Amino acid sequence: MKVDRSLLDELGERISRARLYLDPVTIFFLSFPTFTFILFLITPLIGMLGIAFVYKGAPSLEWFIRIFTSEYYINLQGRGEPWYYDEKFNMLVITGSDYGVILNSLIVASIVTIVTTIWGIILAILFSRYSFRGKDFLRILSMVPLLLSPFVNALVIKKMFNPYNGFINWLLHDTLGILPFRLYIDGLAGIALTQIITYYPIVALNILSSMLNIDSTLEEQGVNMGAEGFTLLRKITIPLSYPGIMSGATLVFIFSLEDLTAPIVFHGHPLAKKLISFQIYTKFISETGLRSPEIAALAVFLLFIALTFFILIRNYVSLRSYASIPRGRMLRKLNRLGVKGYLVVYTVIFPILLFTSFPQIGVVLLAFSTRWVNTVFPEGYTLANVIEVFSNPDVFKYLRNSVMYASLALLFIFILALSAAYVTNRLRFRGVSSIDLLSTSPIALPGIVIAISYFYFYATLFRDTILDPTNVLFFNPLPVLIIGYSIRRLPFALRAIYAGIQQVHVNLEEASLNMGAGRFHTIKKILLPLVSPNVLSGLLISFIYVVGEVSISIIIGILNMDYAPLTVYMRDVMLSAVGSQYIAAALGFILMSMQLTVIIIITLVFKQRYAYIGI
Amino acid sequence: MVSVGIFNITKRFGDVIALDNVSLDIGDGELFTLLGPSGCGKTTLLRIIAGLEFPDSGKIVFGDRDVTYLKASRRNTAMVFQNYALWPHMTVYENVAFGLEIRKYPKDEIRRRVHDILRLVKLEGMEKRFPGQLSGGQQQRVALARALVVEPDVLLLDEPLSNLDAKLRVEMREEVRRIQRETGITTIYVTHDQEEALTISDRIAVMNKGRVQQVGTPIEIYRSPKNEFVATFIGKSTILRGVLKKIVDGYGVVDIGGFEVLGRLESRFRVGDKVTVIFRPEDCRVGEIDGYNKLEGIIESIMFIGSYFHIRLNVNGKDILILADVDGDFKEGMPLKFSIDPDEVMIISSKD
Ligand SMILES: Nc1ncnc2c1ncn2[C@@H]1O[C@H](COP(=O)(O)OP(=O)(O)O)[C@@H](O)[C@H]1O
Ligand SMILES: [Mg+2]
Repeated sequence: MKVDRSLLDELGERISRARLYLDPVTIFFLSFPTFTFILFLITPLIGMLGIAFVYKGAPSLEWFIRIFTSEYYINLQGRGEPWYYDEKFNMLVITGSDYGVILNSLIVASIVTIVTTIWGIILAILFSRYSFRGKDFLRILSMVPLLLSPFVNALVIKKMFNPYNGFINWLLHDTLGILPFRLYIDGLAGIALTQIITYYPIVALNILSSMLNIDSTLEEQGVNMGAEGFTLLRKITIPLSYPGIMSGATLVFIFSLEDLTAPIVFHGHPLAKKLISFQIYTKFISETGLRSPEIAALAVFLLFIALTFFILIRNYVSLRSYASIPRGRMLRKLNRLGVKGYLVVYTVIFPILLFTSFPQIGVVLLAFSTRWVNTVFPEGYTLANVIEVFSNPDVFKYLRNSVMYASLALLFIFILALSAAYVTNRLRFRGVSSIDLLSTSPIALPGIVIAISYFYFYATLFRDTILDPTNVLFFNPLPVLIIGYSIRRLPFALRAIYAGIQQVHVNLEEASLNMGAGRFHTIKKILLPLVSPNVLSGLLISFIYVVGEVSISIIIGILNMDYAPLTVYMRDVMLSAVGSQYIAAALGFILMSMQLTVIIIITLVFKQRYAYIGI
Repeated sequence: MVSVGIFNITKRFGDVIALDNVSLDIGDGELFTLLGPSGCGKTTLLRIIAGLEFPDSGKIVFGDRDVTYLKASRRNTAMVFQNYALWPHMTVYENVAFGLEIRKYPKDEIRRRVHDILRLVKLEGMEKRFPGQLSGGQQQRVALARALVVEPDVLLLDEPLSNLDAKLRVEMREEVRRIQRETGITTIYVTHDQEEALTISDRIAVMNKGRVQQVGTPIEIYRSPKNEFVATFIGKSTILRGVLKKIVDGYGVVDIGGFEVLGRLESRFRVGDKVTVIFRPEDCRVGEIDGYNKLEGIIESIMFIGSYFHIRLNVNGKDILILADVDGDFKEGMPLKFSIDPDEVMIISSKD
């Protein structure tokens, strides 16, 4: 009893001490993100557990047992050849084999992670340790896949590998004759390829940032001790880059698991449907009312994998610093590429980078095509598709919805990001780090898991109100979407604002407090003006990624088409009649143009460097 | 303007005790200096007085008002930060006017006061500049003006001159002294520079490791350092250890080993106590002068310090530093006779 009392006293002492440093503004800054995350992240996720682990009203593992004992989900034997040669058509068909939904997802994610990591390491070494002509161009080329064009870029990749008139077969088989057969990539292989192309820049940038931040004297010391070339890389450079490698690889692993766009585009092939994310999605939209708890169980499993990895990498590197654009030590002496090096760069690396930028180029072509079906290149060009987006009220509605949601979400994101960045930078209490953890975690939480948890959350807690997603007639997804978007895209703005506040010396604020200004006035007049470039950059990036958001949009936003956002429409036209994909491409083009504009504004006007990073 | 009472302030940061039971009494209108080496807790104490930090225990009183837990913005102190903390997005005018705007003065009143204060710190005509366009000395003056213009009850200066070059530092410290005299604001001045502290202060508190070692006027501190730390931190001193052999009327004879020194006893001792003997170079005189403490040593090194030499002597294996006129003829290795004024030799306990 005595011990308890002194513990309580100490706690009380702590709290009263902490309160000395608080004021209404900092209390708001502490509580706003805390309550938001408890209410709109933790509660829905825990609520989803409550659905997944209950069978016929009692706690049970039934749903998980069903999943793990079903051959549909786990099939250790594997079905079908991963690839085969079709003599009749002289065609190499690569689709992957079926090991069941769960193993397929893990296998695809592992392959994507391994390939992007190796490729990322190669690029990072090249960009951080060598100087050569055309380097800037190659660096920019390697970032093209970051341009957002949900669904459409996957469609273009699928088109490129069309066995008859796809660009790759036309170029490598028909024209150059390098390939003795036609190449047909579809199913799981098509998804993996799409994800590799889309996600490698994230890994590459993470590793590059790590490599540029290695103190060059460490490597020089290695050279002194006789390490050279490959040994130096293996023994010193790569181990020192582990934080970047680990965080990049983990993020890509999670992104691959949660990706919905590639499976939806490739789902014409039966194998492409056998992935966890697609199963959640397709089961969800094929049911009505309060969906089967099996969906929740799948989502819980996905969450479990993501959380495991998230916790693993936090020991390596804080997620906030992921993909921060390297400032680097400019003093490092770069190696000049020799003749052999140039040969490798321009006959191997450059063509691959060019290839990975084709999807974005293809989206632009498609957006301006009159018709592009049975030909290698579009049959003709037109502005009609882009004009249609703005002139057809049925299409424009979706763009307008998304821009409205994004604008409203920005307000929420701004307050959340400012609060979280401020308290984690300025307050030194225990517990502040949990706000840091929570506010950076959405980066590594699968969007589809959040979306599903929201569905159950609102369907249970807001039953028969306009926020009830099972209420087909009256459901208004606006608040649900805005809150969901805000939480998912918070890390982008948070990272920018955090970096800004970190650079403002705390004395500048203290001088203002000392002059008699309150906290609110101090933040308004001193802090915000000083971090406004960071705030605006962060919000602009968040804006773009809200407009391009897929998971929450197509799970929640689909439930009332009057309120549906842009990506729902893009998905729809992708699935519907031939001919409407041009409109989707036009929307993709508009999205990429917005993103490029934002990047240019941020780099030229705000002079910030992390603009083009994103997922 | 108020007096500042500091009562038993203790402040820990984790395991570090930044302030250990510090008590000070600072008079109304006084220029009071906190002097001590880096890390001794000066800034922490200043921040506690400003309300930017709160003590673990103890009390801060302005006049008869307990302000220990009052928010910084309510204290009416004005702090000049070591890095000046000028707001880079505001002009000089806006920086200085900020505190007046907070206090809701009328516009022309603000203009008049800012103008007056900029004249006081000799910065007329700089109103439209941004801090980034000013030299270090000018920035320092803006920081001072920003603090002074609100007519604070207490002015807090945290090493305000440490970022300036040596010449400017001397100029500016006279400025600070002049302005403090003209305004009469109770001022707490933090520095690690003993010369600065001695020239500028009404009184000084010498601090070390979070504790106040001695409080006194510059002359008291210089002439009668209470302990070895103060003696070595302020000015140059010779420090010798020995055993007290004889006590006569508040004076004592200390056996240093090989020779004896006569000096003032600073506290009660008994014969046989281990004691420390401290005296300043300028209290030693070269030559065979009648009186006490006649010694002889071999010159080990000679250092010119501007109008004088500092001569380091070896006296029976002990180092003694003395001051000598430059017209003397000294060489290393030469024997030299000198004497020490017993009234200037302090004998303190070896325990401190
Ligand atoms: N915010 C803080 N967190 C942890 N330790 C601190 C903090 N502020 C000061 N300290 C420690 O307290 C001691 C006194 O610091 P300070 O008051 O800045 O000394 P001074 O100004 O005399 O150089 C130092 O050991 C310092 O490291
Ligand atoms: Mg200090």
